[in-house]
Amino acid sequence: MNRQYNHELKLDRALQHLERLKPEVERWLGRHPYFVVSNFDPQRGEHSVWIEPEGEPPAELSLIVGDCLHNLRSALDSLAYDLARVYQGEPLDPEVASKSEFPIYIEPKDFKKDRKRKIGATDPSSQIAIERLQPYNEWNHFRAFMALTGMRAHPEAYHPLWLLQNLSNIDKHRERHLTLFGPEQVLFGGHNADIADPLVRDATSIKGRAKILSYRPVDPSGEVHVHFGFGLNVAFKEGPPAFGEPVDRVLWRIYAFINREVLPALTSYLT
Amino acid sequence: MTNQHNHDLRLERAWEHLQRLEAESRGWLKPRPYRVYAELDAERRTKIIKVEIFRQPPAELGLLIGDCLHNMRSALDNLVYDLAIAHRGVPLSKSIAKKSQFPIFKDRDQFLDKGMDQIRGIHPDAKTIIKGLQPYHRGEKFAYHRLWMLRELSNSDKHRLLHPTLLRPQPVIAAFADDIDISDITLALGPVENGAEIARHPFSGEAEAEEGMNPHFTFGVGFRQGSPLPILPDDILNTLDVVSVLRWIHGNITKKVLPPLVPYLTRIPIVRVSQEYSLLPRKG
Repeated sequence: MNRQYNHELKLDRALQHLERLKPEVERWLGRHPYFVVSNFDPQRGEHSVWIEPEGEPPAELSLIVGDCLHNLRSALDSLAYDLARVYQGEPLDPEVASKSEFPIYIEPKDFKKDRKRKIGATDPSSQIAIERLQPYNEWNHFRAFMALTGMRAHPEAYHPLWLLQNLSNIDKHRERHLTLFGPEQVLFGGHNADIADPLVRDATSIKGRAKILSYRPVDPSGEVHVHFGFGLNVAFKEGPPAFGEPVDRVLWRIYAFINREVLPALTSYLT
Repeated sequence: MTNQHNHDLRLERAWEHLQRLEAESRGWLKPRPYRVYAELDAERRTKIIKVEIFRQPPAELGLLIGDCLHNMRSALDNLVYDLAIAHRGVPLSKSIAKKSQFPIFKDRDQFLDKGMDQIRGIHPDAKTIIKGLQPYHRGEKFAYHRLWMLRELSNSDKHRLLHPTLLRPQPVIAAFADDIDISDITLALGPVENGAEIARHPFSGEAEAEEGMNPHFTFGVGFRQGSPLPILPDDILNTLDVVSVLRWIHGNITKKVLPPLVPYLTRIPIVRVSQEYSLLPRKG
């Protein structure tokens, strides 16, 4: 235990929760908590297949997500604390200790305002490294990424740290992350059928129901065969900042960002 | 389960973590990761009993404590949010939604200044109840208030350190030999470090005979004391183990905080009838 820093322990704990999430999601989805319904539009001569959820995912999933977010956020705060402890020596001034926090800002002016209060006791070089990690510096990178995927209007909001900041605050103070599931991959095929896959598969959560595919016969007098399969996942409920994003993917993205970007940039200041 | 309020779910989750913590603590203590031994001070005819700790409690315990605290604290914050929704309806204004939090203050003026803002969206009577639950009513003994303990522990866990846990000997007086007067036994309560003295008492017989006779102690898992750990009263840290402290806080929320506030979670629809209405056909 003593060899590990607190932030490492917290990250391990977050990982435990994250790994627990997957089987719980699979268990719930294994119960097929949805209906597959088919409609026929006589005017267009088109059949469509829809999926309708039976209800919301179990609260257990939201609670696991909450625990995971708590440990991810807490890992960053523990890291900031350890950075101050190493630079200042122990014991830390109680005032410094009580205000220590890993800053996450989407506006440079907000970072400037709170830098001294939250990380002022750490090595000045580590403060620069933390500043570089701020979501506003990653704006261009994420704008390019989101432009490629062609989905979002506010790319900076999808920075992993900003997602963590918001999701963690929502989880702590307000409502549980109510989650719905969205159809992801859809595989389909058939005979004598012109099949259309109408959705951009961006894991948008289902609101009431979601269309899987539609088809119309090529030869109206012939027999039509259509077969299809689809993958499901649990997604964040509608509303910022992770609307429609599969929960496990968002959490993995945050976890990976901390491990691959945050820790390598700061670990040297812990020695 | 889906019809439950968020705070209920959080409290259940906290309870699950607490039970796991209890089981893990017991599991760690079962193989006795410590040894009690005695040192004799022949000159002063005093027997000093010490403890050697072979293994510190696993990090898992500290992480479970953190998860439990997080869920208890969130339960309170979720409760205020739900109270605001019940009073104001959805959607809540951004300002209320953002500031909504269960206030816990040791100072009355601070509560009136900041705390009231955190519960701005809830029913006035619920505000009065929350005001009555504040630690500042205990005066200088605010630190003994269970909500204050929750606040301190939770803040400490979130922003600073885990709560490293250490052994804490339970004072089992009966385990000492019969010929020792109880008033002569000095017990060191509270968390102990490796090699710490846990008791001492005078002896009258032969030193060799004393060497093989050590009293039995039972141990629990306690919060470690000292900066920058939470400011909890010494007598709480010395007499209660981690599970007991957390149970105590959990019990306080379920028995003292929730019951008076739960009625304000129900939104009662008010129907205004502005014209004569009857299910029966009008006469004439």
